[in-house]
Amino acid sequence: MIDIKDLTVRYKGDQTALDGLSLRVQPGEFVLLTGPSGCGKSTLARCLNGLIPHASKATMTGRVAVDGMPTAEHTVAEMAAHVGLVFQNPSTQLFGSTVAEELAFGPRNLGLSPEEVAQRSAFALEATGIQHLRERATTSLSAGEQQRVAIAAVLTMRPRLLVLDEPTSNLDLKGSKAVLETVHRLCIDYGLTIFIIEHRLSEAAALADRMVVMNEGKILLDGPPEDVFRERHLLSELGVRCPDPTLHPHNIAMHSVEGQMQRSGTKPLVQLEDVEAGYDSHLVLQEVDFAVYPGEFVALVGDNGAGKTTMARLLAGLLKAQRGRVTWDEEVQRVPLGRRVGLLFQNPLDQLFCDSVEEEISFGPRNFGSLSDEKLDSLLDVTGLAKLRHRNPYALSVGQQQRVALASILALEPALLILDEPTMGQDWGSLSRVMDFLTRLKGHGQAILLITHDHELVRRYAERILMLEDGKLSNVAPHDGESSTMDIRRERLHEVLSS
Amino acid sequence: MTVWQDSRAMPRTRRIAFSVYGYLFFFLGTAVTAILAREGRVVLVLLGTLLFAGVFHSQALKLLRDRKIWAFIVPTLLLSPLVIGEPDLEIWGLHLSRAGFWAGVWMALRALCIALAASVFARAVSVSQMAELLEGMRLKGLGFALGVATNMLPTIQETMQTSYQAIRLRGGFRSGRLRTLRLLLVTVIAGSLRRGDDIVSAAEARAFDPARSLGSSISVTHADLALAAAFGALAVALLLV
Repeated sequence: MIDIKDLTVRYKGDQTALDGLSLRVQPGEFVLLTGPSGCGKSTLARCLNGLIPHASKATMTGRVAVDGMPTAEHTVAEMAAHVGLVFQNPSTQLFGSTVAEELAFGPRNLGLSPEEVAQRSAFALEATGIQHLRERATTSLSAGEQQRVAIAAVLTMRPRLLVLDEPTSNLDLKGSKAVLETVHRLCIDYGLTIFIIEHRLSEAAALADRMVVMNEGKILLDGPPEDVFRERHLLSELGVRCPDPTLHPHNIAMHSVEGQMQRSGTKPLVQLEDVEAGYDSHLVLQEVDFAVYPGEFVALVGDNGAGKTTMARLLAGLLKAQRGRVTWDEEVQRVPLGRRVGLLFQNPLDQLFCDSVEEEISFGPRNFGSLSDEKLDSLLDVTGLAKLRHRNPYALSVGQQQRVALASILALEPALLILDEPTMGQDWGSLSRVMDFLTRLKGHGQAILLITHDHELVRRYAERILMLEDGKLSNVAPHDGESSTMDIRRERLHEVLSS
Repeated sequence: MTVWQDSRAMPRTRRIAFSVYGYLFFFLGTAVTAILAREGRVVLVLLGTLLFAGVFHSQALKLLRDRKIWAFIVPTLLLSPLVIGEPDLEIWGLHLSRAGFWAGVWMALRALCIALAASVFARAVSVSQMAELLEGMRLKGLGFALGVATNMLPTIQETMQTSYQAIRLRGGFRSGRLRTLRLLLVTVIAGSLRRGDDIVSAAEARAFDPARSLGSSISVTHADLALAAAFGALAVALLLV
């Protein structure tokens, strides 16, 4: 299905993204591709449907053929009927106002008759199990549903190869499972070849037949996931995380109770009592009671739309409680808002405003009149940004941008640091480095609230876990009920890894 | 999860079936006749507009409960006797003009007619139908751009909100507010442009070619033609009588 020989891709500035890469994938295979951020995974995905070289400034040498068609000799539109590419962010790949219109977009571009368009749409809805969404507006869908619609929309082109570039990075566990189960069904029931790029390996590796690990534009490991995961030392060096065999929702629940017991009797940094909050008449948080203590690392988990970001905005003072009380420690109450709470948003690009890393980090302290060269140098050192201090933040990798955004918040020395989904686009290596650094901060009395879907991250770093379900706090991790194919296969994978 | 309750997404069955063209004729026809109608005749145009809206899209009448429309109409009615025409009346020491009062009334009624027609059009025609209409007019890629813009608006709004909150938490508005606003604007625009690249790639991956119009499956119905003819006759009558 895929035949790649000596593929080299260079972006402008002679930056090599892929370096003499060769790969063969058989029809019907489920291949999982992983590797550290910036290793060339997305570039490879774009080569598979011809976006590189046809719609990119990159230069390509070598040969890529998909379904027997050399991508360099066919247009992206011609390749679209053979390769379906699903991108990371669903909001940038939906063009219709309803799901039905979205599904019709591709076939209409192929110039097909209305009957054929309807037939293909019906097939795609059935194959992805989203018939019930047909008449829904695309803007009213949850992130998981949007991603499944994006997959269905690609399926209407009747591709034989489905390429997915980090399709679950913005999704909660439930959404991720639904998307991956859908993809797996397409492979098993319809014989599609699946080529999926992921950082969160636990779920995807459980379904894949084959796992490929890349670094610096080359393939380092290629084989069944069980065999690849045995190379723990190499994976660890690359910043690729192995699934944790001890990770189970039950462990998380126990963890939560223990953490809370340890904190009893300490004066809280901030306390929420019977709080209700939301937007206009839409109430998002209800009956919320909890406290964050100085120097503790708390994780807030929950599905998409459960109210985690609303909670972050409430604590940061960007949203007022409609009922109940938010009480800060008297000393902290006196400091201005931005120095009381630092909030790191999900997308670093939304919070970078200056022309250089140095300016970005000093922006906050300058506004609060607390700028000091000594502090700036020290912060640049500990966040590993000293060498990048004169670079434009927009020219950095996503991981580096996230570190700049974090450093610019830490420069204000907030009493409470809230991290809202810091995992986006980050490999495990860079994520661990940032988290290890934050763990050290706790020694200075700073409290950290981590909002994430990443249970492995929570398990490793959080002292206490809060779970939000439909706007209410709960300490009990939910149980998914019946075991899915993924659960069963994941358990098998864990058994192999444990042994 | 929110459930989509907008009737635009639902299939409609009606005995008199107007297509997008019919609603477009209605909007343009109302606007033209409201402008052409002199003095009291504008009341007839308004009654016709209300009747059409009541029968075919009663939801559009919600406009009458919208404070924004009254925020325009009330000042127009109050100010026009003061600023238009020669004063010929004195009430509570204010020199008012009768001609100015009536000019204000007709102006307000015309605005109401056009706003109501626009409300009917906006509620009856979905963004995708509008996009298809533009494609049908051989405006290549404009329909696609409209669909993308509509889907992107919530994302851009979210980006603006996040960036605003991020810069506020970092004390951006404590000093140099103009500079802060400029930085904020650049960040939002840069983010949108970056998303634009992703959109183009995703569209190309689904065989989209901006140089090729998708055409339109919307066809003019008998009801559309009848409505267009009625408005044509009314416009001629208003000009001649």
